[in-house]
Amino acid sequence: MKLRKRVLAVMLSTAVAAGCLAGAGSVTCMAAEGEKLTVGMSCINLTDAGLAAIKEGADKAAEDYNMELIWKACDGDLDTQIDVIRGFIQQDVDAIWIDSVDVDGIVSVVDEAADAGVIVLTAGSKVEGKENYNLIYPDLADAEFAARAVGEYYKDKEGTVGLIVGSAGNLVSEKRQEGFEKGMEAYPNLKLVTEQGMWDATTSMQKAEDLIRANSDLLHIHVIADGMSYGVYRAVANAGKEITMSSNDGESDALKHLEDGEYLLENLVGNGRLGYWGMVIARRLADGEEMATDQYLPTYKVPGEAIKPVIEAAGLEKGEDGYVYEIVSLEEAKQIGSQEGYVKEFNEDFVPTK
Amino acid sequence: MPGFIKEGDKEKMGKTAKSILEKLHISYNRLISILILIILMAVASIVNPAFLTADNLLGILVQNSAKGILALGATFVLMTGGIDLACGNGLTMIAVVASVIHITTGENFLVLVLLCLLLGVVLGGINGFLITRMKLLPFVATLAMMSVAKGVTLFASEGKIMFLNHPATIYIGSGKVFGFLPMPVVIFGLMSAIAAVLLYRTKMGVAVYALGGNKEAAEYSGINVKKEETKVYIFDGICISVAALVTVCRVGQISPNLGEGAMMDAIAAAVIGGTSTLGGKGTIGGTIVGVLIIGVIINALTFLNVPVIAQDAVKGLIIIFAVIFDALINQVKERK
Repeated sequence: MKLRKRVLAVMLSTAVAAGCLAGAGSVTCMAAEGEKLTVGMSCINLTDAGLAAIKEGADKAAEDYNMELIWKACDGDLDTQIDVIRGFIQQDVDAIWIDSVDVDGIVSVVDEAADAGVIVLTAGSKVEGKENYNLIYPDLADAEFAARAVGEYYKDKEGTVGLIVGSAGNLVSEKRQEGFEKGMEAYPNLKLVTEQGMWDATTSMQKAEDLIRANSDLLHIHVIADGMSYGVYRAVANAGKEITMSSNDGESDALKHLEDGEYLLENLVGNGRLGYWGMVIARRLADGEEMATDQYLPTYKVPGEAIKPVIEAAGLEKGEDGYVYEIVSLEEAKQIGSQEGYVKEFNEDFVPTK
Repeated sequence: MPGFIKEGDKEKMGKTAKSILEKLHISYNRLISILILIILMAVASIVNPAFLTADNLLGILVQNSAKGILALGATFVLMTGGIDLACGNGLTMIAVVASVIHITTGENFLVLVLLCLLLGVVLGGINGFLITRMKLLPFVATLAMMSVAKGVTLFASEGKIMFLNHPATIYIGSGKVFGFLPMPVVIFGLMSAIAAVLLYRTKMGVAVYALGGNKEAAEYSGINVKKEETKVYIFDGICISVAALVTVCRVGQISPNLGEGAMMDAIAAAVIGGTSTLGGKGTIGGTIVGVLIIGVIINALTFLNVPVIAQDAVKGLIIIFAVIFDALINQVKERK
C-alpha cells in the first residue's frame, strides 16, 4: 500500500515537474497537482508559543504543497507520544513529523514507522533510527555564540550573567544550556547562574526577578526562547536597572526589542520558518527526491547596534573547526523570518542537504 | 528565672495566649507552619544576606499574590471535602479569553475585569452544577473541566502570544498604592479579607466547615447542601478570575501556557497551611502561611544557587518535610 503510494507519488511528481519545466513552473503548481500528502504531526505540546509558530509555518506549507496535517500533542509524555505515532501508522499516513520528548526512547517506534513505509522526520534533535530524516538546527553552536558575544561585551567587567532555560530534561533546553555554559567558560570574570523558566513567561518573569534581587552585580540575562524572554523583559524593566538581555528564536516581537536596543542579540531560527522547511522536506521526500538523512537548517545571528562592533572586533563569526556563523542585519532578519521570506527561501530552487 | 512566675500566673498566661490565638484563628498547626517558614527564611538569609531585605520579601509577596488568591479558593473547596483540579487551567482560560476579547474590542479595561469575573462565576457555577446536581465526584468533574479549559484556551489564543498595554493593566500588575504597596499584594490582601469574612462571619462559612465534617449531618441540621456547595465553587471561580486578572496584568502578555503549575502550588499551599484534603479543617491564615512557604522555597532556591536539575527535587523534599513535621507535631499533641 505504502509502496504503491510512493511509486504513484514519484510518477505524479515527475509528470507535474515536466509540466512545470514546460513553462508553467512554480512551487504551487507542482504541489497543487501532486498527490495529497497526509502527515502526522506529533508535538510535545500545543500550548507553547514556539510550537504555535511552527504550526503556522507548517500549515502554510500544507496549503502550498497539497498536504493534510494531523496535529497531536503528548503533553511531554513519552508513552503518549509513542501511542500517538502508532496511531499515525494505523491511520496509514504518508509521513510523520516528530518533536521528540526523548531521542532515545522514541527510536523503536520511529523504526516501526519506517518499516511500515512511512517517511519519518525527527525535528530539533538527532534520533538514531534506521531510516528517519533528522531536521537539525545548530542549537549548541548558536547558544555558544551568544555566550561568547555576551562574554566579549562584558570582558572588562566582573559580575553575574543569568541564564533562563526551559526545563531540566528537555532536549532543546539542555542543548542551549550546554552551549551557553560552554561559551561562558572562556570568561572567568563572569559568574553564570541558571534558572528554569518552564517555557512560561510568568515563571520566567519570577525567576528573573529572583535573579535580579539575589545578584546585585547582575549584568545580563540570556533567555533560550523568545516566548519566555518577554516575561523576563518585564522583570528587567520593572527593576529599573541597567541589565542587558539576549534571546533565541528571532520572533518578530523579539526583533522589535532588539530594534529598540532592549535586547543585545537575537538568534534567528524562525519557528514559522522551521515548520515550513520541515514540510517542504516531507513533500520532496514523498516526491522521491534523494537527500541526506541529516538535514540542516541555517540559522542567523542578529546583533543589535551595541554589540555589533564587539562581535566584529573579536572575530566571533568564525567558530571552532572552521564553522562560520551567518550574521545578518535586523532588516534582513525581519525578511528571513517573515512568512513571505521563508516561502521564498524554500521555493523550488531550495537545495536540501545532499 | 525559675519560680519567678507562679503556677497560677502561668495558667492564666497560657489561657490568655490561647484566647488571643483563637481570636486570630491561629491554631497550634499554624504556629508550626509559621515556625517552618521562619526556619526556611533564616537558612536562606544566612547563606545569602540579600534574602532578608524588604525589597526581596515584598517581591515574594508580589510573585505569589495570584497563587495566593487561587489558594484561597482551593481552601474553601478542600474544606468541603472537594477538589478543584481545573483551577490552573481555568486561570489560563479566563486570562486568555478575557484578554483576547479585551484586545480585539479596543482595550477597554472595564471589559477585561467584568469578563474575568463573569467567566470565573460561569466556571465555578458549572463545576458546582456538575458536582451537586449531576452527582459527579469533584475529582472527575474538575478533571473534565480542566480538559475543557485547556481546549478553550487553545481555541481562543490559537497558540499565539498577545500583549496587554492598557495603562490600567500596567498599574494593576506593577503599580504601587501609597508609593510602596504593590497592587497585586493589595488585591491579595482584599481577597484574603473577603475570604476570612465569608469563612468566619457568615452562614456560608458555617456550612463550609459542616459540609467537610459530615455532609449528611449538615443536611439534617438544615443546611441546604447543594446550594452551599455550589456557592463554594462559585467563590472558587471568582478567586480564579481575580488570580487570572492579576497574572495577565503582571506579565503583560497572554500565552496558552500562562500560569502553568499554578494548580499544584495553590493546592500545596492550602494543604501545607493545614487545610485537610478530607475536608472540615482549614483556615485563611494557614493558607496565607502556606503560600508564603511555597513562595519562600522557590525564591530561596535562587538565592541559595541550587542547580537547575536539583530544584524540583529540593522543592518537593522541603514540602514533604514540612508536611511530615506538621503531622509529627500533631501526633505528639494528640498523645498528650
